[in-house]
Amino acid sequence: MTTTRTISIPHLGRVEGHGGIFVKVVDQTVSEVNMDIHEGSRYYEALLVGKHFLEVQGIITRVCAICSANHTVTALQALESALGIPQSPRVHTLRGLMLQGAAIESHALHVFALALPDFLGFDSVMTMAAKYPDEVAAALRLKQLGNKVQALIGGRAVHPINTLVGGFGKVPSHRDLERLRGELAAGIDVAMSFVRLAATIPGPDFAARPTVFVALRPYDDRYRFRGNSICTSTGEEVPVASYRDIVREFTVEHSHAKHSALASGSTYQVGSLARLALWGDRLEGRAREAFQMLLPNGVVDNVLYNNWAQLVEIVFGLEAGVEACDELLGMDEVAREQAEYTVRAGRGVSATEVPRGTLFHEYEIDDDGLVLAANVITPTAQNLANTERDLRHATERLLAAGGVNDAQLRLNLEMIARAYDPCISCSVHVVRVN
Amino acid sequence: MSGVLVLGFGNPLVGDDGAGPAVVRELADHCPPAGIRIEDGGTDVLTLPSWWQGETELWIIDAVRAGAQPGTIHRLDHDTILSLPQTTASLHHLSIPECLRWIVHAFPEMRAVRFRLWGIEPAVISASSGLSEPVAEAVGQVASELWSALSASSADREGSSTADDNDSSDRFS
Repeated sequence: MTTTRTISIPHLGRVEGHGGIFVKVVDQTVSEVNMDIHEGSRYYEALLVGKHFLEVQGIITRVCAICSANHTVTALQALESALGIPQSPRVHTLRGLMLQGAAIESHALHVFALALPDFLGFDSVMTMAAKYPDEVAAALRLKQLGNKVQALIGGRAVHPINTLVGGFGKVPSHRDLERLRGELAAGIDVAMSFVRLAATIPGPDFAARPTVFVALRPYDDRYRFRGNSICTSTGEEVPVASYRDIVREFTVEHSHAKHSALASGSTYQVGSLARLALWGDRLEGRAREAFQMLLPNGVVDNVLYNNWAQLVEIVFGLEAGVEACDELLGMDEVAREQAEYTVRAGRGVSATEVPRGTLFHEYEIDDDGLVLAANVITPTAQNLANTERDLRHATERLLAAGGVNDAQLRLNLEMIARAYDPCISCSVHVVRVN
Repeated sequence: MSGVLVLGFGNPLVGDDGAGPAVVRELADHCPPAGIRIEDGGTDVLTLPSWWQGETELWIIDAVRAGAQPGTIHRLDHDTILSLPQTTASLHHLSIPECLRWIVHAFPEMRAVRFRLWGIEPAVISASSGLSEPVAEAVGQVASELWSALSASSADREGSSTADDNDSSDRFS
């Protein structure tokens, strides 16, 4: 007689946006695994068509609060690529500082409020505060520091308004940069205390599975969030402009979000763990120390360690932020900076490494500067297919081991989904037509 | 320092999630009384400390799902907001009560701030611009209510300030 067991998590808690997990087991075999995205469909790409390119960032930045600076920077770079506008060293450094602020903010929120409660046996960040009051307080102040970086550079803590095609409306003063530098430097010891706490927590192995990692090759020989080519842990490499040759999107019946696979057909993982897998040996200073403490044997194929990888990147972000401030302080003080340009037809692609992984923006504009086509591939959308494979593998493994009840199985599956740090608000931008 | 900070949270590109910013836009048509600031907070309640400049009261407007009819206005006082359990029904990762609890825990300087929340029950939460009819009506109602409350609050503060000035002048006469 056939027995069927279903594990349904209709509302996945502690992720950005709304999603759920559905697993069906028939006679001990996993027959179906779906990560349902039931957030209302997003039309941002379609919304952009026909708009003037100067309106793009104001719209695309509102896909999500946590990711707003990342979408803004990536969109501006893609538009500048279409228009042939070069990026000055100052603009390059300012945008890099914004990306560091966004990473600090997002990782601090995710690790402490969304992921860590599971590892320590709490159901929320505030119940965790009863035992770890100083850590919980410091985590929000660290997130706030990330917001401060974005507010200083972008003009607002979220949905930047100071960012322009070709530059910035207002460049921070040396006085403001010195103050920010001090706060970033002071945050490093705080972040290292979190690293030491995490190093005491054992990492479960139910999520371990051979994984293909993908990330941008940094533009120089250091650990960076920007680059010009896409690399895989299986040795493939293509220029960013040819991203469609390597990243193949496809629709699935059970989800409003597109899924992604490599041209080879393999699912893959992007994000902090992927970046460490490919470029972790380039880390320096306290970030290198954090990497060695949390992953002493190097990166493992286990998405639960993406949480620790994010902690490493908080330390990296703070150190890189200090370095960026020093670079800017070494430049002459100016009120604003914006390149001159001529509007022309063109197509441009940009990719950046953002907290959840590689983000792609592509725009085509006409001679009047109107958007003819737009394509955005978010890290979460790229991770969905791999997430489902991890959920399937973990379910089979846990059932084979035996002794796990439905509640524990549900929690374990939630931990896997949360470890990807999905931003479901970003990933849904497909129209479903029946 | 006293004063009121009014913050509308939400995304105007996601239908009725734009209720908070819509109220802020209506209030912004008027010149705010002294000691009052009115801001569009965007979509992340946890950024609240970066908006705060020492005000003693913080009034929040947001779309809030509580299972009521669209356009229903939920009015919550400080103690009620902070005692609500964390839920997953929030439109912005952590629920507003959990965000506020975390904020006052992490920023002791904000522990004396009194919060109030006006939540408008949404009808449509999907990528679209514009508000549904019941929510648009509720936005007007909340804006009107807030304006009256802000004017009264400002008058109270001016009254106290005048009394203090009179005391000072007595001391010097």
